[in-house]
Amino acid sequence: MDYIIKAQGLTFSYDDDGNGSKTVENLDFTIERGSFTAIIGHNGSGKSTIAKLMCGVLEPTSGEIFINSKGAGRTLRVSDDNDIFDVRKTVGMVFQNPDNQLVATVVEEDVAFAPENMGVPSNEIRQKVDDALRAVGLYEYRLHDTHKLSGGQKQRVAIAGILAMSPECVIFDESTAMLDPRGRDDVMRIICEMRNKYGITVILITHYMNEAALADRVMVAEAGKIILDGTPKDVFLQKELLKSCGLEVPQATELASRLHAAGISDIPQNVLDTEEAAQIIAALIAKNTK
Amino acid sequence: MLNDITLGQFFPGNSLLHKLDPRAKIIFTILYIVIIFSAKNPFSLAVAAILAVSLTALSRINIKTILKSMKPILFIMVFTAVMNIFWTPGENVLFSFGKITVYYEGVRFAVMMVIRLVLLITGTFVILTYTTSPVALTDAIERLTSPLSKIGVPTHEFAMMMSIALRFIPTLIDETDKIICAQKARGADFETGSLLKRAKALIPILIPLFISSFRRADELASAMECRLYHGGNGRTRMKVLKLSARDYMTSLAFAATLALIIFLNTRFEAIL
Repeated sequence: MDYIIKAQGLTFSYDDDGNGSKTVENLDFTIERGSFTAIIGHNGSGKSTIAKLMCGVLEPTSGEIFINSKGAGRTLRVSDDNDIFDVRKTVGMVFQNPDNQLVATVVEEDVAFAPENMGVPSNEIRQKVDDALRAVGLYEYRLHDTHKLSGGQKQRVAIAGILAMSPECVIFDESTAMLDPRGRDDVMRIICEMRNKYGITVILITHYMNEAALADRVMVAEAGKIILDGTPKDVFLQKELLKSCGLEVPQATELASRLHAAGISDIPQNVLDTEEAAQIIAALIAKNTK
Repeated sequence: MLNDITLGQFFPGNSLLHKLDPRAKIIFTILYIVIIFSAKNPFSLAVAAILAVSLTALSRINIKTILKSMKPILFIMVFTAVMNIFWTPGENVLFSFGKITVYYEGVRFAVMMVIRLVLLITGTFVILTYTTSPVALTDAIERLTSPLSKIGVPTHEFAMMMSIALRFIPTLIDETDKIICAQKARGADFETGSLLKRAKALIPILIPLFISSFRRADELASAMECRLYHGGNGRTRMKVLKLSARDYMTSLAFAATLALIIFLNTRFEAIL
């Protein structure tokens, strides 16, 4: 398997002496190149900390994260200060609050920030910025004031800002949490496109189960540990375990499970998508009325 | 209610002055101030006035806007005029009123002083404030001062701080607005009472604002690190500022005006 991120014995504590409670404790996991992974968990489960460790914002207390970077042509170590620049170049991160991650007043200037820091020549920056803005569908807005955009548009500018540094993996740390439903849909569409069109590895930290259902792998974090790890269909079958962690299952799954409990045993319980659920139910109704 | 604060009073446009290189504009502003202060007699002051009027015409800024910008300094103008009228000694008495004597020279001096002030404000506003965006201005300051970074002056850091401050002003204004509304909804009263009471009422606005600003700063720092920010070393820019023919032509015009004023100064008696 061609991996991009590999965590080994990953431990992190916000206390400097390391004796206090550990936010992340002794994790081992691998993220496959080109995959779409969702990490879910309720507040304080350590999911955001895991994200910040993977892109080098936080340094692990013990253990190590290896980044298999194609751009750098070797395996990087997150805790190595000499590697940190390449780590950040390989693994980009989009944060929760769009207002707190835009640095410039003009859209295109903001997108140019990362390539400028990388020391890319001026004419190439122009090209990268235009490509990134087209990828998020904001090319027409390139001269707009960032402050006057909607939340969803701001978050798309932030995504373009990360895309402009051509990362191999992008982590979204609850990037849709502060958006309205429409902005959330736009951002989710772009996230799926990034993976399918550009082959970028996507890691999505979220507490919206419908978003997690779009991934091809779901990891459930609880008290600094990964308690469930598998395909969305498998993970969301564990309804009781998820509930005990304060998590819900997607609405379609919930519906299927209640129908099942009500005696309709024909219905598969691993339905994720609303559309899929509607089709299955329609088929069942058609069959029964015959 | 805080939304109508226009920052730096920049008016977007497409005039010649808007298109000039911001670095050149900073230098032109300095040159302009030199020109205004070298004009020492009515003739050279008239030349300076022609320069100011043509710059205003070129900027296509509404004359009303310029007159409005004079308002805050009206007091200073009146004060300067009055001081000069009464305290300038001279030979030709205009009129005497008890102990106070007003001389012809005093009035002349006061009029010229006021004209000079008006020209100073109009010119600098038209060249710099009204026609240059704050972003272009910080950018220009960074590039103009960049030689100083060789002797250890953190010019890039200063420019970055300025541009981030500019970027966050509208965000923080929005936030203040929200906090005020939230406090009002809880029954806070900001409008009545003594000055001291109203000042005290601001504390519940300032504390949440400061706390959230620190939080924002923390997150922004992480986001900037994630986007590979590591100071000014090895950093390139998307937009490269380049001096064009218009910048050279404009500098020629400024140089010619300055030369003319110096020539007129040698020909006529200095008044200012």
